[in-house]
Amino acid sequence: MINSISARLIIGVIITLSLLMGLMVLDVLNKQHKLLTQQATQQAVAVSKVVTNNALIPLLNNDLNSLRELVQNTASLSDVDMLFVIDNHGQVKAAIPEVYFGQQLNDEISQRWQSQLFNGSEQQPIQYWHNEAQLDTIVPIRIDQSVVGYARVLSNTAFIQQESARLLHNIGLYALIAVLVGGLITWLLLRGMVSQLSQLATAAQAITQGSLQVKLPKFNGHDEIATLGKAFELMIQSLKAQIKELSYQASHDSLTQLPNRAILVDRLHQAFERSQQTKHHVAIMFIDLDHFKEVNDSYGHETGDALLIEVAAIFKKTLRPIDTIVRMGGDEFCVLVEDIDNLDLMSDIANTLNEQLKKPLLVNDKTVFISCSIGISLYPDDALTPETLLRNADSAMYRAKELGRNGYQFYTSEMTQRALERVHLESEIRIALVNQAFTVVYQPKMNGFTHRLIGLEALVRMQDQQGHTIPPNRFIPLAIETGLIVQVDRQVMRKAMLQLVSWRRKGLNTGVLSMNLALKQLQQPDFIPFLQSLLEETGTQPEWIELEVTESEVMTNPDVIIPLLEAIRELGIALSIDDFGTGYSSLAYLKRLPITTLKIDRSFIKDLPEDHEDAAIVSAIIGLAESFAIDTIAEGVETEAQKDFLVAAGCHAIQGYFYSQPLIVEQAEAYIRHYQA
Amino acid sequence: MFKQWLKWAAIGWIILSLQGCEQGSAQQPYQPTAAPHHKEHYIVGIHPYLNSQKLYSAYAPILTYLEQQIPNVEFSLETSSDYASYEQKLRRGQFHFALPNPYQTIESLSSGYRVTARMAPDSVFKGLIIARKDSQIKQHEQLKQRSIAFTAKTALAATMMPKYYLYMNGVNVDKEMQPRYVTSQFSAIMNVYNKDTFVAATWPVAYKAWQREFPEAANELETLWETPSLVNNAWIARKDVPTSVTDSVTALLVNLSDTDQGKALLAPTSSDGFIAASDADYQPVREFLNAYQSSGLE
Repeated sequence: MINSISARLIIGVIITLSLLMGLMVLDVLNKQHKLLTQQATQQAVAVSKVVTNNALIPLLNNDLNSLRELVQNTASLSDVDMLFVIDNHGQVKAAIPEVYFGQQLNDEISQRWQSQLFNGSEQQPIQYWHNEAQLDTIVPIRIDQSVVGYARVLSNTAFIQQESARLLHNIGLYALIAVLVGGLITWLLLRGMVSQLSQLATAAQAITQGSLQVKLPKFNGHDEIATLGKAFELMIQSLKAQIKELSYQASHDSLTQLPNRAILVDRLHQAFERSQQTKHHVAIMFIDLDHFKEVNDSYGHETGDALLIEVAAIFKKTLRPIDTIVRMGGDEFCVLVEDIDNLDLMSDIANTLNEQLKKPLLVNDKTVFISCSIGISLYPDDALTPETLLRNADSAMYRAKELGRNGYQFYTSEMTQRALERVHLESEIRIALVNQAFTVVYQPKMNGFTHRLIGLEALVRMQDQQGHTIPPNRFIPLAIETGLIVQVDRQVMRKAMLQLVSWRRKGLNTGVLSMNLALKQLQQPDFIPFLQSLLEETGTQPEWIELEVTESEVMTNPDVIIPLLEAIRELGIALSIDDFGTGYSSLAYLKRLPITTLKIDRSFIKDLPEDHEDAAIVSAIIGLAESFAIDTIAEGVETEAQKDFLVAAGCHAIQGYFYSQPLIVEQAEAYIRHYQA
Repeated sequence: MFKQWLKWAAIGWIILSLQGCEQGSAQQPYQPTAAPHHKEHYIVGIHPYLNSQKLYSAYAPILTYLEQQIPNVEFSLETSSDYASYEQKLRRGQFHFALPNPYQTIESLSSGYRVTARMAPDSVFKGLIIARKDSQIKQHEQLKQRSIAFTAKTALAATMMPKYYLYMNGVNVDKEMQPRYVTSQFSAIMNVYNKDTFVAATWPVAYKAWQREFPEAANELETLWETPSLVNNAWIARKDVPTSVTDSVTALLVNLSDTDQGKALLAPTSSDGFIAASDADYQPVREFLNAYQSSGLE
């Protein structure tokens, strides 16, 4: 009760009114009391003077009977309790009550006043309030200046109290009525306001509970409550707008304005329900842009973002309005396609998307080529929940990527198997890192002319916990994808360099030891310091080793990578471009690359010397390298004819099964001893 | 905050209420206590040749003086509204001491009083017949059929002596004039001044007092004739008053004229003082009364 504003205000008003009324009553009572007191004193003096005026002669004449009549007549007036006429010797000459007649008043008060009076020190009537109801008045009877006697009147002034009590009763009642009326009026005034406030409070509570569908009273006028009410209405409108905006933001991608995963899951549920009735399929297409990262790295994020927007626009244009296109994050998109009665439709859609994306796109004044990999998963065939359906589409997308990108794959149950395997393999890599289970094998690099050893390439091998060898093409892509390649490479580099030093100390001429350097490793901020400390730690001279980077990786963002390579070169370490010919090196960049060797990719070697095209390319690469004063080496050389062609073309450094497969430490050592220069 | 406010409001209200209660609380009523009058008390009656206030003013100081000189004794001056009531009181022996005129003195001697002193001088104890100056009276005969104002029938100097004087000069007041008895000396004088009566009878003490009080009016009046003087007023004491008190009072009165204080006290009485006297000193008065009675005057 006390917590409501109206109750407090009403109590406040009542208390304030009560106090004011109380003060007023008190003031009136005081004034009335003063007035009555004044009246009483004046009346008492008047009565006394009547007595003194009439008592003089009888007193002088000792006319006791006249005095007796005088006091009796006077005392019959109301308010006179006692009346005395006393002579100049203090003797009572007449009195009411008569018992005092002939006596002398001997109480202290009487004595005091009488002596004051007879001494002449008291000229005026003496008045004294014995108490509220008794007023004592003494008026001297004089002849000229001499006091002949005096009249003393004891007035009963109880009427003052009675009047005050009556007045208190009356105006107290009026004050009470005023207070109650005040309270009532306040309540009436407040009722309207408070009801509006209550409705506002109810609305506010509803809003805090999440409902914006609140009913507000109509606020008219310009008072504070109306202002509050209008502000509240505005606030609700603004809240609605903001919630709408927030819910849009929560369910949409801010960049492409496409719905996000949450909406997709929601719509999948709805689609499943419809599908149960129509018996038609629901499909999820999981789309990942190929090489988007390279675009980002090469042209910067702004271009990457613009590309995503462009791609989203292409999807929208290509797909039907009823299809839900969702950005899942990064360069991943999903498309929900409903009402599929023929699976060919999905192939058509996937092909169309691929075709549309393949066209060169003009983004931020740059021409960008892009493609995508699509995984397709179907409800109810492949999965019964949105999550599984999405995961399966994702798996299918990965499969498409593995199969060379720019294509699409329907989900198969093996994909799940593969996905599981990937998870398993990742954990195996982590375990192998802890267990130092990565081993290094060494493939000799030979001078095809002299058949002498010119160097070794260190290659990583991995064994799982059961001791099975895992092929590099299985675990290395996963290690790169998960970033584990950094630790794997560092472990391999340390082992290889320790082995190199060990051989060198044995006086073996190993030639230069090549090691693969992943782009991720190169981009580690601590890589150069790590390399330096590793050289010191293992006692390796920089000129003993060479690091290989792949052409495609270098070319993703040459402006960033070239300075890093230069830093390696400054340590005195040789650099080689791996898989040369498969990337898209521009000659301008090739010229700037601080490399010492070009490694011709095995794909060009494979069909030598019969394939004239490859032969021409290989000759051209060798010529190019010569013109830049760079060494060349060919990998994947398996036949003598290949070796001969290369040597004849000017590439003397040969690596491949023609000379030797990769060798474990002991075999390598024996090989070195045999073929060292 | 609201609760605090509420608290103070409540305290304020309680204080106001308490103040209200305080006003209503009853007290023991006051009642004076009394005891009988203990001192010896003597009443003194002066014959009303002046009105009561003037008489009081003139004689109360002398009584106060007596009280101061005689321990444990109180004196009250009791005036009388007129001669009749004075004489009645005298006959009843109501006064312990009295100052009656010579006629009343003779009367009092048979009511238990004795003469202890008399006022001086005797020469003032005479009657005066006064008239307005404009009345042009030269002969006693002129008074016949005219009105005359007297104080009272028994006023010796102011009534009986002028009446007897006019009788001896051929005018019988009771038969040949219209007498009016107007109770007091001042009334008699005022009557003639106001032309209510043709002439008035009074005596010197009263006339001088009146002249002092109304000097302008006095200029319009004149004294026509004076009677021969008789013995002045007597100081009498009731015989049952202790002799010691009577003697002390008499001695103090007689000695008044010896001191400045005494003279000052005597001044308002229009007398020179008191001289010791006895009943025998009033024999001439008795004789005058007999002669008066023989004349057949009322």
